[in-house]
Amino acid sequence: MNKTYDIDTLLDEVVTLPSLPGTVAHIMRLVNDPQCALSAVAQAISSDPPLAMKTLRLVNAAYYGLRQQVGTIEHAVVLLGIKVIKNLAFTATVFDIMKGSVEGFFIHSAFSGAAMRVLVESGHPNPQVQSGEEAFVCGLLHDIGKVILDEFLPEECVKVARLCQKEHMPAHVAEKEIIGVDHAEVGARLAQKWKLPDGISDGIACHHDLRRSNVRMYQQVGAMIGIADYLCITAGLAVDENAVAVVDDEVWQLTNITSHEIPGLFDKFLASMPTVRELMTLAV
Amino acid sequence: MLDNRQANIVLVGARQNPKGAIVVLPGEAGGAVQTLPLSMALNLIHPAHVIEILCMQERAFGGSGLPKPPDIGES
Repeated sequence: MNKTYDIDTLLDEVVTLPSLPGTVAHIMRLVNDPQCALSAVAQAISSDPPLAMKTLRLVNAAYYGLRQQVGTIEHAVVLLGIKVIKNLAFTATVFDIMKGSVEGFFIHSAFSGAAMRVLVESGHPNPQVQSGEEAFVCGLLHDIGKVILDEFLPEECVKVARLCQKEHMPAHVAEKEIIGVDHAEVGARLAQKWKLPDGISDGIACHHDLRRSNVRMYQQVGAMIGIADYLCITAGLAVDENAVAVVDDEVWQLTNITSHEIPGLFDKFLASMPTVRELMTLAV
Repeated sequence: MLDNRQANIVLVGARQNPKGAIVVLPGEAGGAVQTLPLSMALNLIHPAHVIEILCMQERAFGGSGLPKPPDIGES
């Protein structure tokens, strides 16, 4: 018989959520200040050379489609603005966390980010996730709770994987059964700890269960993540080749995505694949 | 299908000469079957199923290299 937890007990007794690296936390605080100067953000990123180098690599990646090479953080901030640069510095940090996880997890997360970006840039923005970069971060992070569960509860996660395969069950359902808590709840708590916007933390929380948020805007973020997730799993870009994806009709209704839009969205998603793969190589 | 009919999806063509997905609908009251290109049948198909069909089509015909699902063998 497994010991099961509720989310608070799990975080008190078993799991220590990782902190955001100091520089990135500082950049997030700066960007949230409406008086923040461009030069302050540039200085903060430049003060951490490894982060600056990784951020510049992303800035120059084909995925972000800049026509000119950017050689300095100062130039990048002027060209792209502080919010985009913040998201890229954040993406570089999350890539660092993910590159040690199983390859399938990194692939699934990066392509979910790309799918979210396609949804947002194809006429489905949300007040909480307005830009392609924000959407990418949201999709990238949606399953981060799995990394944490895997680190702190490895034996239980093996049981979860076995149950998923045996019963052809989605991972979050098996996690609830074996651990008592699923990756979406853990990921949402991490997003809260990192002081990400409520739309992102609630969106992560409810990407498998819309009832986890009472705010329609946040539920819409969760619904979009759910569809990006579904697209990736159906396309075989899943953590586990036996992964099962289920999307409730309520999710489709909430996003207003119709069958007629899907071929266009799918083409854009496929078109982004080579640049996403290149982006992932920059994390190594 | 959204109207509760059962339909089959057939991929027509080969990787070098792809023709696309065709929706095969049963004939009413034992009549002849009806075939529609996917693009003409979108209003009859749930968006989740459209994604499944497009993924299947991409695996069969496309060049993006989508991974093959474990339960599909070579043919």
